[in-house]
Amino acid sequence: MLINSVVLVLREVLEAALLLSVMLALSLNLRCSMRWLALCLPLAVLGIGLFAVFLDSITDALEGTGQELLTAGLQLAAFAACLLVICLGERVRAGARQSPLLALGFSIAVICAMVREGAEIYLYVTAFAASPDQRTAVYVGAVIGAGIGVSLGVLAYGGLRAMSARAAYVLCLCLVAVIGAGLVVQSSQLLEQIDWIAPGEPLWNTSAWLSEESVPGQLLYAVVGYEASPAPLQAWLWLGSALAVPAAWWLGRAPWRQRRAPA
Amino acid sequence: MRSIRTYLVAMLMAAFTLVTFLAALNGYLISMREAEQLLDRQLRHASSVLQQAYSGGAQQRDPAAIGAASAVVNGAGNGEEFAFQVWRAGQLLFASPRASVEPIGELEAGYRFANSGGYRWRVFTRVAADGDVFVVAERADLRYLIAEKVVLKSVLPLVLWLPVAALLVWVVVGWGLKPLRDLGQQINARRSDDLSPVALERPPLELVRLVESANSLLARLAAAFQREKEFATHAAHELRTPLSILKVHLHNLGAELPPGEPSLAHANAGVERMCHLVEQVLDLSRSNPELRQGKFAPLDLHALARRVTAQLWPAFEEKGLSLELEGDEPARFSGDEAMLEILLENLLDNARKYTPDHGAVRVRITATDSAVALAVEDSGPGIDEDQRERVFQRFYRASPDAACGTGLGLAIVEHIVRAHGARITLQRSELGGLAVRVSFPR
Repeated sequence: MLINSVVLVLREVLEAALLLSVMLALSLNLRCSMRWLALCLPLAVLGIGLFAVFLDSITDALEGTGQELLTAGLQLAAFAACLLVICLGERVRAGARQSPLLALGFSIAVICAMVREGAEIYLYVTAFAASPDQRTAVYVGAVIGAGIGVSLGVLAYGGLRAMSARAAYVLCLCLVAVIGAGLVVQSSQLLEQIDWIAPGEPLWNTSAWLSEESVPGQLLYAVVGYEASPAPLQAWLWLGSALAVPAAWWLGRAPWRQRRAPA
Repeated sequence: MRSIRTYLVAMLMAAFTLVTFLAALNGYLISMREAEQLLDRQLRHASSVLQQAYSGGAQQRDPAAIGAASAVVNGAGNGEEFAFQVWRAGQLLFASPRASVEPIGELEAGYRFANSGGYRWRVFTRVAADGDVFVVAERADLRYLIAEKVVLKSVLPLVLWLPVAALLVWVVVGWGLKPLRDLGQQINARRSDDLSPVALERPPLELVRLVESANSLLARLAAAFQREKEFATHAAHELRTPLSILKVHLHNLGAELPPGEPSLAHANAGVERMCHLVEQVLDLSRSNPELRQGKFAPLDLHALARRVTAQLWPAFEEKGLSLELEGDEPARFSGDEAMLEILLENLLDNARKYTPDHGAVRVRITATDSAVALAVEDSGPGIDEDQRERVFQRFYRASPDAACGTGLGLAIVEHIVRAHGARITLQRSELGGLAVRVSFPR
């Protein structure tokens, strides 16, 4: 029970912690004030609280698809906010003034990720609250999983902070690309569960090398959306989402380069 | 994370938590494996007990034998978590009360997991030499829970003691950063004119180079200040001698020329201005707080102001100016008397120069428990608000046509104010001109 609990909580916390670390490192890199963090942490807790209070209503909404739709929506919103951050961040790097939208982008990305992952953990932990035999193992497992996830996030932030600004920025973009693509693939799977997306024939199967059920497979799924046997739509979504990050970067950069060119 | 301590504690705690929790998980997995093996050995032992109990050839379910075998596996268990069967040639000869009448798993020797009666069981099957099959089974879910409970008792303290570890790391990092804190405090506590080397007792290796660099910088700074001080003083002294000779020659020339010669009057005025400028440059150099070691002693500002106003009275009278001294007497505080005399002379000299003939100048001194305030007010044109910051710059003149000023007076005043830790403000005076207020802390 403890191991299951560790893996499930770690899977959720690791994704949110890595995204938060990358957003913090980007904010530092772009010399954006960190005040957004002070606002979005209580908002994330409030969001998780609201989710817990209205869990039944959310689950029953839209003919029983409310929870999946809300979760998928949060993941897509987090990814969209990441793209906004990269686009506006590149403008700032090119010499534009800091925009309040940049702090808003950071906040939305972090709040959505934390509410989504926090809600999953809440669901899991509360499911075992009434089982005294398993409660201790689940709680201890949750604490260990959360501790490992948060520690990895803090160390990732420390590593990004210790790097040169340029290298840290490039690495942040790469991490946003893979984490963001993972978010989109996960949301597509949720939509598939409620029949909003038709399942397709697998393009390949790498279960023999790395099973989705194994611990590394589950962690990779959480961080980069690893699928052992992806449908064509999922593969294209992953690739498209990952490429959307350099596209947002280019979009933020191009107008400024053109304006500077005549000078 | 702008604090090194917070950063270090966060990173150390993250690394510590990661390693501790991973080690705890590793320990948990190993312990669980050991516990499984131990429980498996108990199952095997239980099957052996069962075989011996059955060796009497009982054809019925024997409570004594059941109890003996149960006790081996479960201790004081209620029997739900444990089951056994004895089979011969496909016939169930003997079983525990709640055991199924169907075989629990395959009737082949060895360990295995099997489903029976709606539960999953861990099963050990022993095949005796005569063909009898002894099956001993334990509910997998319950046996797992028992093992986990035991192992958790060793994992839980690691989690619960983590805040204590964080507190210890916080304190230890604080100790480690003490030399850095000491260095900062030592530099902060210095007077602005103290350029002596920084001395840190047994500095750590990481700070040795920093202290050496800081001391080298301080030494270069002290040498530069000394050179500047010596240059200004030497230059002023060197200029004084030829100016004195020039004054003597002009005096002699005045005796030879007819009275009222305009060129001679201009030459005399020029030399006087140059003498004043040299004195001002010397005062500016002497009053620089970075270069001067102040000679602070208790003094009465009112008495000092009385003496200075008396000295300058003839010059005021010459322009028909009224000069008043008002305020509390005595107004005592600790100051450098020579410097304060220069300050008063400069403020009064400025007031005299810029106040039109027959105007008024007032010196007011007020003393409170915390400060002594000096105000020099005049009925002159005053200084525009946008220029009040800039008049303290060297050689800056608020009025370009004020040919009589050197542009150094208020710069000297500002030096002296700074050396006394005082505050200076320029305001509109009740007399219509400028009011210079200086507040000295007591």
